[in-house]
Amino acid sequence: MDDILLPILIFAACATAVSLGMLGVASILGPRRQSAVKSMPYESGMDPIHDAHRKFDVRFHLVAIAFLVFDVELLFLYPWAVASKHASGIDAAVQQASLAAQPLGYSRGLVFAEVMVFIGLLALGFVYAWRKGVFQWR
Amino acid sequence: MLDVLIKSAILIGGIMTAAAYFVLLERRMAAWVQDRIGPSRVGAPLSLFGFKDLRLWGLGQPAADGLKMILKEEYTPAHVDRRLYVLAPIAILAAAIAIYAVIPFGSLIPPVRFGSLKSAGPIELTVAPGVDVGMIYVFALSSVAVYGVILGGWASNNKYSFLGGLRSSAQLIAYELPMGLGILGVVLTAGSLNLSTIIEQQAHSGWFALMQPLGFVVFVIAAFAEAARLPFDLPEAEQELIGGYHTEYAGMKLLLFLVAEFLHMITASLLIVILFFGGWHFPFITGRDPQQVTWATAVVRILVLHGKVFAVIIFFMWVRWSWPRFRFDQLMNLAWKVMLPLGLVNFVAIAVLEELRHRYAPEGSFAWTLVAIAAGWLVFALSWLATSLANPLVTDNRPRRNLAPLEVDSQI
Repeated sequence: MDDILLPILIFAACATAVSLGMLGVASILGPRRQSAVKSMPYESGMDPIHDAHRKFDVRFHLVAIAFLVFDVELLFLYPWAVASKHASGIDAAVQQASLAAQPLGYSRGLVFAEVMVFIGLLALGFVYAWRKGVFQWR
Repeated sequence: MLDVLIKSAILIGGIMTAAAYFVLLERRMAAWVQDRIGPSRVGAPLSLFGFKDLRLWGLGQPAADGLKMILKEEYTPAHVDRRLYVLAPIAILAAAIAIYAVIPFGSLIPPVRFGSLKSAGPIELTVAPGVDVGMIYVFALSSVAVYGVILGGWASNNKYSFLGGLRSSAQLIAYELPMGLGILGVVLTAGSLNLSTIIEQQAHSGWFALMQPLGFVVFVIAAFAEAARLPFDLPEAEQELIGGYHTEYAGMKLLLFLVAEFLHMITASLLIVILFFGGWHFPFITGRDPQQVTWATAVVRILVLHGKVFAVIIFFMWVRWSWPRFRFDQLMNLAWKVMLPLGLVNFVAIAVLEELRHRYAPEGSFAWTLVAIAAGWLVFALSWLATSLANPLVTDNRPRRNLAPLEVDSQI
């Protein structure tokens, strides 16, 4: 466990250290000359009108919801995709159950059919969202 | 422990240098496409020591640029949310580097002896070898880029940044789905999420680009969009949004964003090569068994992998100067109305093929490989045809008027 996780953690720590280090070196070596105009928001030379943190009609929230739905459902498919071929995947489970003479309640074909039904539902949801105009950009 | 530190140091140094020199390459490519010379002068400044300056075809340019960025003022505008403003570039760069922990840069090298230090066995050219969820790890960390973008856009408290951040995040999440579907086909055929295993699988059964052309195309287009390269560089469409989400950034913080962007492109190229072009495998010259390595094969494999990655990066740059940018609605239409359905079709086709293979050729055979390739290209051709016939990309270019919600419904 540690043999696998530790290198990743060390590497991630190195990556963060490099980014922090670059910023640190620059803030030590760089000059410091603040002025009122320099710290104003950039709006193509105009005087800024108001704060940018205001209400904004985010059409994107529909997309965000659609994304969440599809992405989460997609992630459900990964375990199956791996278990479908992996040596200790579905086949091994089915075989073990038949050796132990305990009916498992599923077979390879049934699992496949379930996945197809799952994708069918996904596609159905997709068509529904499309018909509802979620993907219309005007 | 020691080997991890050594590998990390080599890798981080290597990719940072690579990013710097790919910037130079990109500028030279741009110059070549636009019929000018490009940066060709900065070399070794030997006149400091009383000799004549060396030009070296502009190879000193990245170092000079880096030095310039370090010596720039590190200022924070007054109106920003300070903590998030500093956090955004750090988060995006740290995530962009951390992805490389699981990416193999070759297969194995034979045991090394260095003075009294000796490696236990052959060394895998991965910082964290044997991670069985490698693909998920890459996927997760590439999603962290969205945080960097939206944090930077929001914390800058600038209208251009805000719009750029929103746009960017919408684009990044929209193209994550086709990317995931493209990867899913590969995972299903390889039966593993471990990148090294995926390469081994391709060494034995043929490259996935050949067997799953549809998945390949979907993945490549999504990878372009995730790396925000032209024709998908909407986030920083300078004509509309100045700098997009990094409008308010300058100096080193800007450099962190730019380096992260370049690293995303290099990651995308590596993934394309590893998932679809067989990684270090090349017929006849590299051998198939990852465990059988001599120094010669190890070096050949590393060269093959990096040669392929280099070719893909050249392709990225070539596309950049050949295609104009999409409009935003075209971009989102492409993601949701074309790429997502195509990704689903690809996945279903591969799942059915895999199930048939499991039934009729459990160990795989040459005849089966031919059938799989033929089926893959058939699916590709049919879906291409269907897309061009249905043409969901037709866009309405009439002048816009405000529509009531009910009207919108009636137009669909």
